[in-house]
Amino acid sequence: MPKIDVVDVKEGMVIAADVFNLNGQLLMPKGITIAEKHVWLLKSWGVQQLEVEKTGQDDANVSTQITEEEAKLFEGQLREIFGEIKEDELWAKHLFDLCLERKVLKAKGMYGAAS
Amino acid sequence: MAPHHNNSLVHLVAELPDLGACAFVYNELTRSLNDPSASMESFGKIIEKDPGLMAKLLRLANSAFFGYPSSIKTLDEALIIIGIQQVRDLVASTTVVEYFKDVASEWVNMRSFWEHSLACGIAARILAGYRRNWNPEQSFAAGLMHDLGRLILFMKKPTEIAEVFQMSKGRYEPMYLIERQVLGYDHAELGGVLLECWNFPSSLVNAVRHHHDPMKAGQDSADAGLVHLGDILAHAMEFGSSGEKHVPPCESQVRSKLGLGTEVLRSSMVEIDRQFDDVVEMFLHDNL
Repeated sequence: MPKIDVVDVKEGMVIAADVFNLNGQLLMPKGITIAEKHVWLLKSWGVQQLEVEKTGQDDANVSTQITEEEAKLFEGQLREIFGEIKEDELWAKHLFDLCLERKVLKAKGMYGAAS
Repeated sequence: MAPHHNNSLVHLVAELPDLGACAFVYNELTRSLNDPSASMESFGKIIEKDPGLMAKLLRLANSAFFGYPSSIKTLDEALIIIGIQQVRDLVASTTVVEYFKDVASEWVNMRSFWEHSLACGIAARILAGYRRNWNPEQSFAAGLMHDLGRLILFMKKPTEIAEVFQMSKGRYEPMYLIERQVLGYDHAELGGVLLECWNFPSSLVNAVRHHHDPMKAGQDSADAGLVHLGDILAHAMEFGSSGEKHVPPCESQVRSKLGLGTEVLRSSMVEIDRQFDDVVEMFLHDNL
């Protein structure tokens, strides 16, 4: 499970491992969905990091977030616009990949968040 | 392009309404720029004659397009911070959009046309910034104006442009090549003639004229190259369309000429996305 900084914790994330304070007391058991008050609680107890379940906010797992069909659809749309890209056209290939990544991130409402 | 073409294109362009009234501020600014005795105040006074334009420039100065940390409140501040020649070139851009705002076409949605043009301008301007060009606003103007020739074709050559669009259906051949087959010239050449007749600087004229073949632009090949790449990015990122449905082919020499490799692509795209909405709002909200 990805470990994230407490400043990046957002409402709706699900805690993947029990969270303890510095004295070893349990603050939150795993499985809890984070609400606003939890964010405040974590910060006030000085928790630095915690593990969360994969979420839409987790850009390390981008490729798992959209279905294969959707990815194919986006790729097909871009192929239509780009036409054939030859093996040695590295610049065009790179541009294509970036455009595909952008399309996927946009569809998930995450574009700009990762950059 | 053969000279006889050029002559007939000049005639075509001469049939258009005079830019005069629209370009009053632009022309006055140009005159003052060439006048060594002109003061900073005199530039402000020229722009103040057009309150709508002044408001637009101030909005632009305070938008993501410039991204200045503190707000620019007066025209004098804007002139100092952005630069007079740069402001003059922004005026050229707003003037041209204003001039062509009533053009209609059954082939292209005009909002889509201008979105494509603005995206190309934004991209060319950002790439110019990577090259530390002293006046990126001229690259913006050139990008914004790169497809104006096609607007003239919509207005003056409806039969021929219909044929071009019919022929382009289901084909990957770039539209400018089909234009050359049907008309004997393309929209880039025509746009260049237009801007030449309007006395725009030759580097801007050549950037527009050679945006599909930048290495033929001689000493202006870098200016043309920036528009060439801007056009490609605008297509690839799917910002509107001026009729062409595909990403135009990229001349590989251009990228080495400009010294811009793949490493600038990602950050350029992020920056284009960051500026696009602001710029569209600024240029199109009164017009389209």
